[in-house]
Amino acid sequence: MSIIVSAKDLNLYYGAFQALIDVCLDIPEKEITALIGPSGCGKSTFLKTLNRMNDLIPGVKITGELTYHGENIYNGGLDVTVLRKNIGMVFQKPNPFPMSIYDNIAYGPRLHGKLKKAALDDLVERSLKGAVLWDEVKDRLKKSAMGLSGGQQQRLCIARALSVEPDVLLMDEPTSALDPASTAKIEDLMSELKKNYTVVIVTHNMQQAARISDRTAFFLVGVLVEVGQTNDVFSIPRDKRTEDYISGRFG
Amino acid sequence: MRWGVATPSRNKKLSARRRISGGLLKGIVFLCAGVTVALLVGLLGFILYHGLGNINWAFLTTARSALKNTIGIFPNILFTLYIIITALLISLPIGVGASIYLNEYASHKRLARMIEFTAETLTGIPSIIFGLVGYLFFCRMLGLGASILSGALTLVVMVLPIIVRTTQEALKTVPDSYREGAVALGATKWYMIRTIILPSSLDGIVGGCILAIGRIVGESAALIFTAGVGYQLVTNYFQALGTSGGTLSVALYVYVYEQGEFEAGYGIAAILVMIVLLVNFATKLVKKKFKRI
Amino acid sequence: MMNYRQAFNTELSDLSNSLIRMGATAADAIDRAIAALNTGDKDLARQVIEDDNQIDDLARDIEQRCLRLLLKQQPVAGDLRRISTAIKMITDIERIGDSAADIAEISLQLNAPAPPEVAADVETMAAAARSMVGGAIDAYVKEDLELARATREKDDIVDSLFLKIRAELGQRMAADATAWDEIMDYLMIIKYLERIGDHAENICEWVEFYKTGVHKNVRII
Repeated sequence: MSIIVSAKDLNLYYGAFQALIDVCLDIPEKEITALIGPSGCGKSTFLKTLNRMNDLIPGVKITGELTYHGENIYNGGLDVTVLRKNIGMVFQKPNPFPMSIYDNIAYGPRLHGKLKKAALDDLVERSLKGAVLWDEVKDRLKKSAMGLSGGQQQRLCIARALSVEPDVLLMDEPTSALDPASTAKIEDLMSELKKNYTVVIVTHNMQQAARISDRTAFFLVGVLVEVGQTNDVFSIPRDKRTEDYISGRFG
Repeated sequence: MRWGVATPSRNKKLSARRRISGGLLKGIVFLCAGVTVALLVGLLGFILYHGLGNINWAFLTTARSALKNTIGIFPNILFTLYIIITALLISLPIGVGASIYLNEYASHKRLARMIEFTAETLTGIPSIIFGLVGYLFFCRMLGLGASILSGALTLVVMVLPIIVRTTQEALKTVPDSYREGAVALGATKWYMIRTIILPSSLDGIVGGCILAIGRIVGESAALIFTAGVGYQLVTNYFQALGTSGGTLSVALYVYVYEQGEFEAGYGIAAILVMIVLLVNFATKLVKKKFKRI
Repeated sequence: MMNYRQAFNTELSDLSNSLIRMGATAADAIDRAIAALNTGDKDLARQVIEDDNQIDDLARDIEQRCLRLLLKQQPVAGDLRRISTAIKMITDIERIGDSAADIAEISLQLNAPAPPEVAADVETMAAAARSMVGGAIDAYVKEDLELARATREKDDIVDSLFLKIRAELGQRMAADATAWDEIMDYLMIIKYLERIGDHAENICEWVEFYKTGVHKNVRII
């Protein structure tokens, strides 16, 4: 089991507020790591640190070490465009662009370089198949993506993330806006994705974390309280705070 | 529950009183709406009734001739077009650029708010003041004289706030989730703006342009000072930029107020009304077309 | 710290209380069955048999509540272990009650009291088994791993007593084959007592699982 992303003594400040405190966390390859914790605990912040989405927020300061395949993510080690190509992201609310299904998927590849039409077609098909959406949309690729259902839109966003051939997928509460059936589909998809991708998911749904993840990390007020095999964390957590949180006693 | 349940009789009385006052209010509101519609329809009817009869082919396609003692508004139509084109050519890039800066780049929130405030204030200033300033600055200081260019530049100052405001509003309605989605795929900011933000706020920008056209078509006070009242036909656009020319609104003013040509005035008024109606209709159409995405 | 899920907490503690009550009822049944055996009190014996229904009802009630909690509360970690422990424990407690009722039933058929030496050994064995049941329930109440382990080890005493009495009964059978009827009855009684010890041991093992997630040296969760 090799480590693909590794954080060492990671600290993150929003101005004077410290959102992450000495976080040390290794993300193993081709596993699903779930980040859990109450709102404002720093789990989403940590997730967004991995593909530098926090760069968009003014006043962010980061210390410590964060590496991807051993290369420093911050401190000029990696180009942010390349980083985000390799570490894709899926958001809480499905956010397809207001364009056709095809153009949504082609957006990333076009951005990263010119492709022949045939190659692009092929990539779009592969991405949509990867997100188990191809059969549902293959006859209306030129139709607007906004006409898809919420669950389909979210799978489209996953396909869009896959289109630039990343090896890590970050998911920020990807099913919180979806109905149970769509949620189940996305969860099935995630177990499928695990074969080829490393997935890091933030979720408020304890059952979901228990169902789909291999490892679970519990954050509380910016501190990584506990991380371990999901089975262990949900059956015999080491820390009382973890137990209280996952059993719904606070949070 | 001492207060909770009203007795049936009290309830009935109350509702009777409410019914009366409610009905009364409804009547008043209906009346207000009726008056508004009647005024509008009356005005339009009056103008079209008096104006349409004065519009004919020669009126639309010739220039005024002192020799033949005929009135034609073809030069004024051209001048209006030239001014619209010139003003938009200048104000559109500046306005859209400024709003992109304000909405997407400006990290200096106070500066951004100051610019927004200035733009808002500018929209409230009487146009005659723009005319005065335009005259002093463009015509005199820059030595452009009374010309289409001076008029267009003055109008640029006037419509810029409109374009900035409408564009900015359109940019603001683009959900942040689009921005995040594009950036998360590795897009640079400018690429994201070019491929996502601008296309999805196109309807707002076009709407702003149409509003600006409406403003330009209807403007007279600011143009009398700056573009003058010329009525000689100049078909060459670049030549026209340097000559004095009155737009339709200005021509209306000149014909009616200075020369007592009421018939020509009604004719121009009718054309202006139709243009305004057309512009409004176009706005609706554009909005609907873009909303479908 | 803020504490959510008050209703769930209440249901969990109600569940524990029911479990404790069920355990106490079963322990009481052993006491009374042995008393009926020693004194030949047939009414008491009949009462014990009849009261076994209460234990069965309690078991059914607890089982139902556990399943509903699993369904509605989707417990994890300690909550999950507590509820699954309860589901497993009631089976053992219910069997303890059954064994007590069986002893009472045999005592109904016994015509003559046991020979004094045998009676004394049976009483010792009954006391040992009874104390195991008490210890197991106590270990659950106090969530006391040490007590659970100590109680579990007492099963050796019960087992050795079983072998001892069995040997004795065997000798008596060899000496006087006509007494086979009673000897068989006593053999059954000590077998039931031995089973009670085993069930108490099982309860202790579930208490250990509740605290550690490990059952008989295996992580089963």
